[in-house]
Amino acid sequence: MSNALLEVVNLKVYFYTLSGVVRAVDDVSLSVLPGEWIGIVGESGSGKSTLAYAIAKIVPPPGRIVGGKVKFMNRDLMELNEEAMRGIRGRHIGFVFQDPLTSLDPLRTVGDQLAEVIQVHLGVGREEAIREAGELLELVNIPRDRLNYYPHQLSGGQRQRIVIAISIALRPELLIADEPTTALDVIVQDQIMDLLKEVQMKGASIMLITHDVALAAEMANRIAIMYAGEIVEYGDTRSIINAPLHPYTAGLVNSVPDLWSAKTIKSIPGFPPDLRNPSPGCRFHPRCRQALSICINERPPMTIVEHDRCIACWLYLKR
Amino acid sequence: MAGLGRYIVIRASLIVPTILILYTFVFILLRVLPGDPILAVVGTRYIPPAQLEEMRRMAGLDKPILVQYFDYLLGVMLRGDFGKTLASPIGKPVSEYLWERLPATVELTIASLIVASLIGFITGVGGALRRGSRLDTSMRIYSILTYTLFIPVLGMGLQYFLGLKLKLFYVSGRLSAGIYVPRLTGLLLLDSLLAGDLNAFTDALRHIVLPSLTLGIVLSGAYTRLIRNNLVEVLNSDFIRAYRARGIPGHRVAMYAIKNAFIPVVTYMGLQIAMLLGGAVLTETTFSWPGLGRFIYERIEYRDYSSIQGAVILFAFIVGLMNLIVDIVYALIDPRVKY
Repeated sequence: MSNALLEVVNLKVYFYTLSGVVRAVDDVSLSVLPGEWIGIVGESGSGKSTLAYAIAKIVPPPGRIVGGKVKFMNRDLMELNEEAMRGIRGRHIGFVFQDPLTSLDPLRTVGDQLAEVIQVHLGVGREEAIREAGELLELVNIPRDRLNYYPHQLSGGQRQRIVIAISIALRPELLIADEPTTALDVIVQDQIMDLLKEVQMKGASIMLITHDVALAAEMANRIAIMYAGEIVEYGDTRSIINAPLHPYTAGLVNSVPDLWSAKTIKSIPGFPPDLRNPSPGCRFHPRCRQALSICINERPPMTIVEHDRCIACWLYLKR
Repeated sequence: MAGLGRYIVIRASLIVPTILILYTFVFILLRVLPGDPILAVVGTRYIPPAQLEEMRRMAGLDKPILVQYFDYLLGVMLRGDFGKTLASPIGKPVSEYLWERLPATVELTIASLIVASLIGFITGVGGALRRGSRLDTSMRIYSILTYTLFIPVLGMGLQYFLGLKLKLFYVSGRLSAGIYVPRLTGLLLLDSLLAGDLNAFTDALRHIVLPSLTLGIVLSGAYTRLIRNNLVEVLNSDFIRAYRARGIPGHRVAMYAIKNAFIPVVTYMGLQIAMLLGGAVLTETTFSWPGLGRFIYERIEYRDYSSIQGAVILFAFIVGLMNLIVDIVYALIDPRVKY
């Protein structure tokens, strides 16, 4: 697997809060191949955003990366200091955050913010950076004269396209999009997804973090399902959607409303566990209809069930 | 730019109601207070009632109260006439006193504002960048303590230690006897520099340190809290995280954060001008600072209606003007302000 662009191995991110240690990301492993689109799907609080921050080592305090390895472009990011990490963020790993209304500085023009990232990473002059910024705007279908606009003068969709323009300004190998369309309406969501698709066509890998299984199914070629800080299942999109194995994945897939059939939406009963004190067994077992006695006390290991399809569930393990 | 012009005119016109309300309030308050200017001058001496009536008539106090109210107001508004003093020295134009006293207050308030914002900036930014640390906690305690400070008490404490004990600074007045600074702006620090008189400058500086420190410390706590809380909020905001995720160097990100955190501070500065001038009355009294605040304090004893009304109108005008300036600055630094 040395040809992977990104390899996360047994990553652990804990938040040291006053009321206890929250295990937001617990023993997560995954890999991203060059040029692929991977979807990380999970509900709020499942640790998917924290996973993204940890990859770029920007976990906000009181969170800390307490274990594991992140290998990116054959370099161990855990070994790099802050200075070296700054050279990777923005340059090789681009970020698109959820809320385009708040991910731009309200006091600076979009042109300034766009040009800045080019200046900082490439050390070019301001004039050249501004010129390149204008080209980037046109690339994301925004007229060049919007360079002098302030964020509040633009619509949500335009702002998100500018955020994307900033994140792809240096043609990063990996673009992490954390719920990039959650704050936008569906029409704009389509446009943003098309734009991301274009970015992928140009060779970047995309990591789409979302709670929307349908969206991930539409865009990604591989999907990882996260639950309570762990990846419970991953594999290629078609097999995950058509034949979900893990009971949680099945629950997620069945909870997507289908316009063409009369089937009722089945929700998953119960709530995600408190990550300050998770059960020693499978974290999903209290909500699982097929739970076995072993699920209560022993954590299911991640196992390959078929080619490139992994699952952490006792139902599929031979004992 | 036409939009900005209209914005300024609208904001400027708000000064008029401010002055009207304050004038009305002070006018009523002065009439409700026991005694009047004539009795204050006469004191316990016996004056025949007929003579008292004559004195009242000369001072215009025999006219109906509404006539007095509008006479003075229209005099100020239309002719810039602030009336004549009603107490010793009687019959001098009030405007002369105001003109003489105003620069002292302006100088003191500017110096205090500098002290307050410097302390507020250092403690606030320091606390926010090391949030939750011991430094942060002590800064927060400091800011709460300043609310409990009473200006004369703090002033006398500073006078005692830094003035009398250590003899670093003077404890009263603006300038030592025998030193003369030609008046250009009326601000001694500025005028002495313009005259090239370093000796006078040092002397003026050693006079202004204690009063401006007193008023500045009392006002600084609010800045500490405001700057700290705003900065903490901005540092946790999405766009700061986005800056970091783009690999922008830390010192730049800190600069952008501070700029964003300062917008509410500018607004607050405008609101605080009124408090600043209120504090100036106490500070000037404590330090025998010959400004407008002390002038009001002196004149209240004499029930000198026209002097007090004049000074209050001038105060209201300054507050309005400062608010206008703050509004303009606000519009210039925040692109989101529409005008």
